[in-house]
Amino acid sequence: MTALLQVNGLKTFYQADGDYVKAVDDVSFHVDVGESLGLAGESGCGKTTVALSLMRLLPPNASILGGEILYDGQDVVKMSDRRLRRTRWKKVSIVFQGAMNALNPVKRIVEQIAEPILLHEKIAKEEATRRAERLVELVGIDKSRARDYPHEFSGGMRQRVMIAMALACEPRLVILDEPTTALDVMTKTQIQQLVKDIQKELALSTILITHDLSVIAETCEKVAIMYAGKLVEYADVVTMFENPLHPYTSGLLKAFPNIYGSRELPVSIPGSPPDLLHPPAGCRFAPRCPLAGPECEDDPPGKTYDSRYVACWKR
Amino acid sequence: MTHRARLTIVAMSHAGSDEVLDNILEVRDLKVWFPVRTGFLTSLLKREDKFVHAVDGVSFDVHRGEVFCLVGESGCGKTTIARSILRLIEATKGTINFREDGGTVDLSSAGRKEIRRIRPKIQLIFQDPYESLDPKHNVLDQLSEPLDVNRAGGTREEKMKKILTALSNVGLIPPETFLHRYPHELSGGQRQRVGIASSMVLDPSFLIADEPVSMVDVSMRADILRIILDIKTRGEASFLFITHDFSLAWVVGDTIAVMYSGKIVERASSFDLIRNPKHPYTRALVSVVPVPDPKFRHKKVILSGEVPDPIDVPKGCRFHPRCPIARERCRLEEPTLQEVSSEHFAACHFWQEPLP
Repeated sequence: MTALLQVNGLKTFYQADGDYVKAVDDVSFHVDVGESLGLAGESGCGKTTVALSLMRLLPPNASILGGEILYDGQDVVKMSDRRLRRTRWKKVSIVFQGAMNALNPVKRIVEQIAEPILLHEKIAKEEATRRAERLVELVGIDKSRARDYPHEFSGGMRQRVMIAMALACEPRLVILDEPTTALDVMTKTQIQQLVKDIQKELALSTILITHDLSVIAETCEKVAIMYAGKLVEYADVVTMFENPLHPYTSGLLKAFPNIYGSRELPVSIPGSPPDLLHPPAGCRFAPRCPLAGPECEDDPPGKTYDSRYVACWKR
Repeated sequence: MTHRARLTIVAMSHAGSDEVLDNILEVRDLKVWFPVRTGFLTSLLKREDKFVHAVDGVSFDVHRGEVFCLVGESGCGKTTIARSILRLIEATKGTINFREDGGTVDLSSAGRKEIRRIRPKIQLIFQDPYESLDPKHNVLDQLSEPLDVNRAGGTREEKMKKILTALSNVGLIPPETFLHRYPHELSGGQRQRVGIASSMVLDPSFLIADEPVSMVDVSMRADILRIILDIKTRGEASFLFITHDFSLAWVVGDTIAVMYSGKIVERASSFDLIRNPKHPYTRALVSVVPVPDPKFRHKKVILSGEVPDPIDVPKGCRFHPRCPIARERCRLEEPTLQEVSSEHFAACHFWQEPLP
């Protein structure tokens, strides 16, 4: 398979008090055509900053200081604004966290879905509306409700509308940033199933950003784990869950209760993530790591085995 | 010793008489309805008043020394129950008997003085440790306040001792080093520990934990759950644990009650309820709990539709519009909780039928 998205050595820092918060520090991964990648980590690990970097939608105090983001071989980092506008939504789109609350309350949903189509394509309004209606059906909303307003929909339905919007310009990659966080269990499952079905139907590539490894286990093929701005491990889902290499990954996997497993309490990882303004020298996980030794004071080497990657001295 | 036997002994020693005080909390037919404000004209034209049926006839017991879990989707009424136990809202109907030191108080009807006396015994662990701590209070202030307000601190030394014990019981060790820290100097997990310590400093016998780990990072959640289980094991308090997450109820709960649209639809021991659910709603909910194992395959029952409008609840069984096995009887007759096996209750006419 060919890589649709190739990220090499991405560095995105935030400026704070004349210093840099190293939110994303030398992160590389790729997504193949039709593949689903889960990007996991705890809050503050940089996963959302990766997503914003991919779209170049960073806040003003953040900047990409290094690396490349190759989409179909073209570097998003170096793109002119004009080119960028033609790439966003046409090629890569994003569903934000809690986005269902970002719908315009005074516009009918079909109009809101048609809006990006009209902005990106030279197309008649009627045609755009027709396409928007088809999208409404694709995400499992009855066509008769296409002309309703956002307040007439529940949270789950609004999230479906956001997904329809992300698909409006037929992108090949959709980034989903915690798309189901604020939703109930049953609604969550409905949305996850929907994304899976659409992905198959449209041969779409997706990046799912979440803190919930169980969701990744159920919906993704590949998984990348971030810790304190670094990519610590990358592998296919089955391999990673069966045989995690990085001590952080094993710790995180042990932290999830499983209703089909024992009733023993899961195990926490001692300590808390470092301050990214002054991260520890060497391995950033070392202060919490059960395996840490003297060599961990130096940056861990990234090692590649077959198609998996791990950044740890001990592996 | 079995868990049940231990509970009974704890209960006996509390009662000190031949009456076995097994329950710390007994909720009977609790109803909490909120009136819906309608416009002036509507109220003139339509005589009928409308209500949000947040909690609509709920009964359950919390045994002394157990963690009782209320599980359900948002809007099912689980938080409303917690709030009426704390008397933060008034119950429309029903009783909430709290048993303590041989006496019984009905929290739904007790007077202000009585509530004030009993409140130190019933404390709340908040959901969001980023919101529940005052940013201008250091840890010492945070833990002093409940003691000062309830005049429960005693002498300076006694008060300090209570505060230090509460901090070390939640794993903030050594406690002295945390006293003068402000919330912004603490991690999410540490903040939640301070939150629990300030609930425990008054030595309550009943704790309500409303989604206590949903805002805590996954890698630190287990520690918070461990603290809750430690408090239980030391016999210090019983818990009402409110969550939407069955996998949490699986590891901390002794009993689980599942709520749907203001009613309890199923109640059993945690093990029995999750391994052997009977009500079609519970069966569906348990089947969609995400499993952290990519090779695990099982059938998911995905329900369509959403929780009903609490103003216009469906006639008959409230779950029938979404139920995969609903029949005519379900549209007409509301099922009540019946014992389907020993200590396992479900409110469904057709609980023996398989799901499609």
